[in-house]
Amino acid sequence: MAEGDWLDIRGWVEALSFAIADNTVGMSRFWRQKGTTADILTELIMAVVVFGLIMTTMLVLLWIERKFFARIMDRRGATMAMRSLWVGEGGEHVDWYGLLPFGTGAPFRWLNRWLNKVAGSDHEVESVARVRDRSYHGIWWMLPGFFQNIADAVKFLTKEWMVPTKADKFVFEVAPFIIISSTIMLFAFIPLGPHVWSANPDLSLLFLMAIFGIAPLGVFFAGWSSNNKYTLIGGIRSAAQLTAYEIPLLVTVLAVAVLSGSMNIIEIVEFQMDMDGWNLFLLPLGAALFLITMIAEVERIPFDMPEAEAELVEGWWTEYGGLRWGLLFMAEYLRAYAACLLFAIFFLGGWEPFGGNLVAQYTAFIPGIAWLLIKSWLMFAVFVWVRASLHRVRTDQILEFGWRWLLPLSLVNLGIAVWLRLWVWQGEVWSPLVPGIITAIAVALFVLLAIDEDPESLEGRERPYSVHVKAGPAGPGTHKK
Amino acid sequence: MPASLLEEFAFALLALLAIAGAFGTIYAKRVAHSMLYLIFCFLAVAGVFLLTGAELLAAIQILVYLGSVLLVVLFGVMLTRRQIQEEDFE
Repeated sequence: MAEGDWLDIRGWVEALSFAIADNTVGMSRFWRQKGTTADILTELIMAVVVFGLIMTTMLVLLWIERKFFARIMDRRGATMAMRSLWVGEGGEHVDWYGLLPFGTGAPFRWLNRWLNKVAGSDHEVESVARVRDRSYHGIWWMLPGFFQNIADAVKFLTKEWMVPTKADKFVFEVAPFIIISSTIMLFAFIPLGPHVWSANPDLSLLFLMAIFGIAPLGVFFAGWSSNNKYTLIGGIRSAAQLTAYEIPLLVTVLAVAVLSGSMNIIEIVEFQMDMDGWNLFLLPLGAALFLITMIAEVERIPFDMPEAEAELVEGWWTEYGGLRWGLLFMAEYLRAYAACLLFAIFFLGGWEPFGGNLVAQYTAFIPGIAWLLIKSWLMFAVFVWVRASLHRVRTDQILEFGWRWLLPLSLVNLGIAVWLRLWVWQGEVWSPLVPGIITAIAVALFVLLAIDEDPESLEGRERPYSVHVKAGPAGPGTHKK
Repeated sequence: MPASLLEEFAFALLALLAIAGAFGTIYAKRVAHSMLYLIFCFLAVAGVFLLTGAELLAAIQILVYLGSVLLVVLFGVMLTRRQIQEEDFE
């Protein structure tokens, strides 16, 4: 529960700023403004704290993107780095656990031996063994690859800032401001824990979704102002995509708000905690819809048409370079991070530990923010998984998918939420039957649909989304028909 | 009271921004420029709503109007007979 969390950062900051205000403004002749000063100070410090937490924990996101993606796609360099932890550099690892007193390093030695046995550098083919030996050159106790981001930042900082000659200079400069500022503003409304938030208005959910929708404007203007056909196509694709996913996304979020009976994000989390039911098990359809529309909102594969690097050079940000490109890239990942945090908050119980009330008394020493961050990182792993598995959709495909599937399904989801709230919920803890039955139905439907996706059964059938474009798979000679 | 003074200052700033945005919308030469000014106008109006305590209205203002601005500028750019990709912006 909210009051059980010992990591009361907001309380500490409030106490600190009241002490500061007491000893400065309180002593002066403006002493009447003491309370206001303390409030403003609290908000400022909390904004800095939340921003710092987000920016530092975002490094994990980039790390997951690199490592997990490399592992899925079997890329050499990035997958090697992690193994150097136990293989060591050039096959020689530092015997650091031998230095620990009283033999406490023994478990580490066993772990090391086991890891070397399972995923070591021995291989019967000599060249493969040599490639496996090629590892991270550096210090073993650093997370390999984790500080690559700092090197990237230095690279962006030292690059030249160029504006195309025929670009619209004013809009070209303003567009990154719109995107980056609205992205950072998102985190004002996202609570990281019961006592770690920077702003908590009654309508925080509505504000959040409103601000989420500003960045596509900046994307469009960035694409338009670069005066380049690739960027223009990317910007217009972004706007077209917006019409497809924005309404289903808002209706899905509305369903969550209806079920929780509040537009306040913290109250949504507390409803899930108090009623013993994560929304994932009550609104599985909503969770799927939210995942799809959020991936479209943050413009990641399979919905990254605005920056389709295979078709449009780099999409709408082709002409941006230097630090502005770095900041836009950062904004992209911050939006993905916000999407993961929101999924964890809306559907995975926010800062409730895995297992809920059954384990809450044993895990009280772990602050809620840790659970929320772990959940959001797992969600980001799902995002990376999706990115590695699926291909990019076409513009007409996403429009049809959005209007013919997502929108009706989101309305169905809203109906389910209303039904649950009005007729099933009795004002007390959910009976385990309700989430159980709903989840069983959802899993059964998923299995049925997965069976239906058997490629042989689809043979000779029309593809589901090829209503306007009767295009078959591309191949030699298909253009002649 | 300084607190209300702050509010009045914020209101003056937002009102100036809104008026400037409206003038920019009218007098801009390009469709996209005028839509950019329209965005700032709408954002300033949302800020005025916030100042008066109408939080719901402010959120709806941003949510509904800014999204529709994008569609307006999209149609404006696509349906007007100007060349989309300008030869020279000067």
